[in-house]
Amino acid sequence: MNSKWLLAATLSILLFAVSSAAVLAQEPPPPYAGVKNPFAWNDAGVLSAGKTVYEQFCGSCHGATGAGVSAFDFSSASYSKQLEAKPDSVFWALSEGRITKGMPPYKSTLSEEKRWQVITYIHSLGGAPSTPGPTPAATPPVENGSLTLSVPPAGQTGDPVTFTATLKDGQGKPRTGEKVKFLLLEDFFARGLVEAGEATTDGQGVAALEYIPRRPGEPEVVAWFGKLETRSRIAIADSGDVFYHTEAGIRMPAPGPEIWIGPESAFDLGPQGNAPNTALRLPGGMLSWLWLFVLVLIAVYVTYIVTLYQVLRISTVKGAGATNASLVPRMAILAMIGLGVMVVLMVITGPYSHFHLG
Amino acid sequence: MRSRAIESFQDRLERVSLAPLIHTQKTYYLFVFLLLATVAWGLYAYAIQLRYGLVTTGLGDQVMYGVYIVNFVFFIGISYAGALVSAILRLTNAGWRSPITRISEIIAVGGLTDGALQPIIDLGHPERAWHIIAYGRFQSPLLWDIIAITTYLVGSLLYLYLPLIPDLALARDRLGQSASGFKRKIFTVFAVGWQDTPDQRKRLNRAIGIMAIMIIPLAVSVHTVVAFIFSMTLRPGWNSTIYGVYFVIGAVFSGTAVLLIVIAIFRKVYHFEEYIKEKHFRNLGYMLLALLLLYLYLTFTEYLTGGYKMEEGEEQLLTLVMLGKNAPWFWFFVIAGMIVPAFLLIFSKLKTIPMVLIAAVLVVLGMWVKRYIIIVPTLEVPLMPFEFGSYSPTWVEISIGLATLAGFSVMVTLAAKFMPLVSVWELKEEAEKETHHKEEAEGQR
Ligand code: HEC
Repeated sequence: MNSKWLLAATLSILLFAVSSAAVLAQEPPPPYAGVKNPFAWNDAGVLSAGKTVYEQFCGSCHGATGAGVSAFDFSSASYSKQLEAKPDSVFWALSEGRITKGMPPYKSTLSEEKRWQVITYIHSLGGAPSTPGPTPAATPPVENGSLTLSVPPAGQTGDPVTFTATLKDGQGKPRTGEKVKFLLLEDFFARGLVEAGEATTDGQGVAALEYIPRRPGEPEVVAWFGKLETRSRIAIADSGDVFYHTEAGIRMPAPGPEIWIGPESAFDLGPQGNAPNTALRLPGGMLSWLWLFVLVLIAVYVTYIVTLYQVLRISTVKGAGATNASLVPRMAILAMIGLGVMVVLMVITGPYSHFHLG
Repeated sequence: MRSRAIESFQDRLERVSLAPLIHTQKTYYLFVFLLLATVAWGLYAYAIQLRYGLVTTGLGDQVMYGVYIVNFVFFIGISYAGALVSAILRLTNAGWRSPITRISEIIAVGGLTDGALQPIIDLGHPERAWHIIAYGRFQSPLLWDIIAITTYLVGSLLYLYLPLIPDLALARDRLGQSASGFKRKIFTVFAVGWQDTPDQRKRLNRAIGIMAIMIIPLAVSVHTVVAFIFSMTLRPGWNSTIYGVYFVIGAVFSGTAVLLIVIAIFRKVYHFEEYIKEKHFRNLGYMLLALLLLYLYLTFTEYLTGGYKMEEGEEQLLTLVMLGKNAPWFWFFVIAGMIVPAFLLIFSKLKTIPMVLIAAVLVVLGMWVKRYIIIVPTLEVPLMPFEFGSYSPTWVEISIGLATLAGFSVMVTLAAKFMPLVSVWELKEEAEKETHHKEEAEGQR
């Protein structure tokens, strides 16, 4: 009995370990798993073709030497070794991209051949003596400096708040005229830093940014200057305002109170942000501009019916004789009435959240 | 007091125009079989798309409109042949229209049904198409589209059907046992007991008069709203105020070209030379030329106003279209779709029918390509620095695209078996009017 439990526990731990390892290692999925470079790693023709592709498509981010993205430094020998061991994983990354991380997919831009050529070229970058490329001197000399951030503890969506950051150098003297970047760590589909804006430090070394929060929550505010970074939290309450247009066009003066007929649930979004229930709605009330379109549609379908009525009369003329001669016009008139009603209903009903906004 | 010449003209007219309804050549079956095989292949491709989803197409997050939506705009455009030729020419009382109105109305219905299917094919979940009826909101251009297309399709069917009634009655009375029982039933039911009494004639003419006026604003609304799908967005190239007009003119233009091709084929196959004359090709050719110049003008203003201001994204779009990977398409449109046809049409006096026809074929190809140029490159312009959209159709899309074309051809071809392709009663009226004039002139002398 005991041994069975032990076995089960060991197995499940093993399974867990294997599966988490798989998740961490991110093995390439089927079409990519196990694919190999069709070219030799040192084929000169392939290398020069790969270089052309690299310079055209990749250099802007990865840098001429390959050291542009520090997490994947192509100019390091270790990356080349890793690439040689697992070409399939790199081929996968290049084909499908890492969109959330900023690496675009290339499977539709570059042919398979071109992709391997550029990978072969990347491999060669690690072997070359790594000459320091023209890395931008992004870190100005603020050795041992300090950056302090102050944000109000709370705010409300739609109301401006001010973030202030104070920049001092190693001697504690304020730095003037430097650009400090402010970001928010937001959780919106993916968790990541979103730039809020930039401000320049004044005589006291203070950079102030006015910002209008649009999303409720408790995001972390981050201030950046070179390698200096500080963080602070702000609680943003929901004021209920929305910051997008709920209707197209400018808001016309409504001649009357809005009319709507529908279930109470039409006021709220459905589960997971689904559309709310459909309701009948006439913005502007009985004198709604929507009537204009409804009238045009009714006019069109009434014309159709009048036309078909002529056909009906043709079929009932004396001497027309034939049995069920008026079958076609009768059915057609019924179909027209049905279609007309459907079309009009399509115009005046729909899911409308934000009823209160008009 | 009819003269003998008229009598025989009428007999011949009936014989020639009713012949396709009862006599079918072997090549016809072969042709229909080939078309149906293409449609079947397209259905297979569609089954693959349904099974595995839109990954089987070249569509993606960035470029989400491709061949399907190009065909949508293209075939809806073709349907304009009906609205234009038959309604406008009927209202202006242009006598030469009679032999070609029926064919243009058939093209209208065929093009519309084919075009209206495309957005549904474009959906990964076609069963959700009904959501637009259930959950559509008035502020969505897609809802406008569904309403306009449905209404126009119904109107086109009516407009095809009304002038058909006397001809169906003719088929009912003349063909007798030589038509199959099924066809006879169709003729009888749809001829609604037409006996050509004065009262019936009066009612029919009233109905046709109403629909001829009605169909024009409906047609204009449809292609305007199709253009709105694009121009209600802020994307480079689409963010334009003239798109409605631009699309309407483009539709009339390509519709006229398709009409020219179809009447040429039917004329040859069913020996309509006596009714569809060189005059028709010449007149339609001049119309095509006028529309071409109009379209060229609109294209010019469209690119000039965009390119001069060079809003963000516009530069990328123009480079992509004129110099980048879409350049072959664009220059094909300009040279083969505009310039060459223009010269062919201007000098068409030399050899009217072949020159006008070659121009029409080039215009149709060019206008398909133009729709591609309008739709795809704009989506390839990235909204974010790392969103490189790129589109090339897969075999699934190409197969379904070809099947769409085959489906349109099947509809038009089968129509030849169920209705006289020329409007017999209107031609008779014309002929009577002519002899009447002649007799009057002779009497005065
Ligand atoms: C828009 C900027 C950008 C461009 C252009 C770009 N990359 Fe990247 N690439 C990145 C970023 C950012 C990463 C890091 C992704 C991550 O952190 O997972 C990356 C990562 C990679 C990786 C490592 C992926 C892994 O998981 O091993 C490879 C290989 C790569 N890029 C190759 C290329 C090639 C080849 C090209 C040109 C065809 C290219 N990149 C173009 C931004 C870019």
